[in-house]
This record gives sequence, structure tokens and C-alpha cells, in this order.
Amino acid sequence: MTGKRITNTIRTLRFLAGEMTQAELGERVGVTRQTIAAIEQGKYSPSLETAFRIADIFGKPLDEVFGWEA
Amino acid sequence: MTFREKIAWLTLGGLALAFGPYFFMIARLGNHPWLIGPASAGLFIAVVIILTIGMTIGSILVALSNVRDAERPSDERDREIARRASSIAYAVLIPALFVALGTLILGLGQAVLVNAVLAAIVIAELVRCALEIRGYRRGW
Repeated sequence: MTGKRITNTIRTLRFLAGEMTQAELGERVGVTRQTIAAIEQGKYSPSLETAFRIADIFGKPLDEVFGWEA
Repeated sequence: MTFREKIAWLTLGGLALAFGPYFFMIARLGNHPWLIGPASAGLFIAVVIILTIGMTIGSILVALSNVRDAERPSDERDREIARRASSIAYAVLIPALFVALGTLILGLGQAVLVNAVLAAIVIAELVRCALEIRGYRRGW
């Protein structure tokens, strides 16, 4: 798996959740708005705990939120 | 820009502005007798006081610009960035300290040793701040 990047669908899921803001998601997860922005842009890979929390907020399994770049 | 990134910029700028002129003046003194004694000690104390006052005022202004962000505890990304930056800065500090100790073996004197140790600490801190900024802007 070396060399592959982790991607995510958080931006889409936020849109589908009524255009939830990064700040609101960050508040619920327990991280800053900037950290959510960094995760969305692929600049930061969250801890497993945070990844599960994000997936849980959107009611999705982890692999529907995070995955390997195709 | 997060509160912690702003503080990293402030620390980087403060250290460069305070210790840049300090080391420039120390280098110009060379082996002058004043290098040991009231002249260099006074210069060092002045730099530390200016840096402390500047950093305090700067930190207060940065915090006041976004109180909510400043009051928020660091999150996992902040801690990860700080951890990585510190570990690399430590790897810079140790060899720099050995170089500083080398000045003693070369018989360059106590004043050079003291300033070389100080330079090692300042360089490591500059590296730490620069890496934190890089971590916030580009990710890891």
C-alpha cells in the first residue's frame, strides 16, 4: 500500500448533511475547523478514533468515508 | 490560520529578530575582551528582555484576534505537528551541541562555548518553529 494516499468523502457527506460546516463537524468530533479542512484536503490523516467519530456522525461505515486513492 | 500556527510564526520571527543582531554583534566582537564580561552579558540580558516583552505582547495580540481559537485546547493534529517538529529539532540540537562542545576542545574559550551552546538552542528552536509552520501549511 506504500505510496498510495488516503482519500475521503467528507466534503460530499457534509453537503448531504445539509451543508454542515467544517466548524460544526469539528466541534462534534473534537477537533478544530482547520483540522477538518486539512483532512478534507488530504493534508492530514486523522487518528483511528477521529476517523470513526466522523463516520459515526454521518451514519456511515468507515470505508465509505475513508479509502485508498484509486 | 490557527492560533498555534500564528504563535509559531511569532516565535520564529521573534527569535530571528532578537538573536540575529545578537550573534552578528558577538561575531563582530571576535576575541575582544568585552566578549566575556559586562558588555556581552548586558547585550544578552537586553535581548532576552526584549524577546520576552515582544513575545508576551505579540501572544496577547494574537490571542485577542481570535479568543475562541486561543482558548481551545490543542487537538490531535496540533499535537502530531508539534511532536514531529520537536523530534526533528532535537535531532538538530544534539549535533549542534556537540559542535559547541568542540569549541572547548579547540581552546576557543568559555565565551565562545557559551555563545555556541546558545546558538545551538536558538537554531533548534528556529527549526522547530519552521517545521511546525510547514506542518500546518503543507501537512506531513
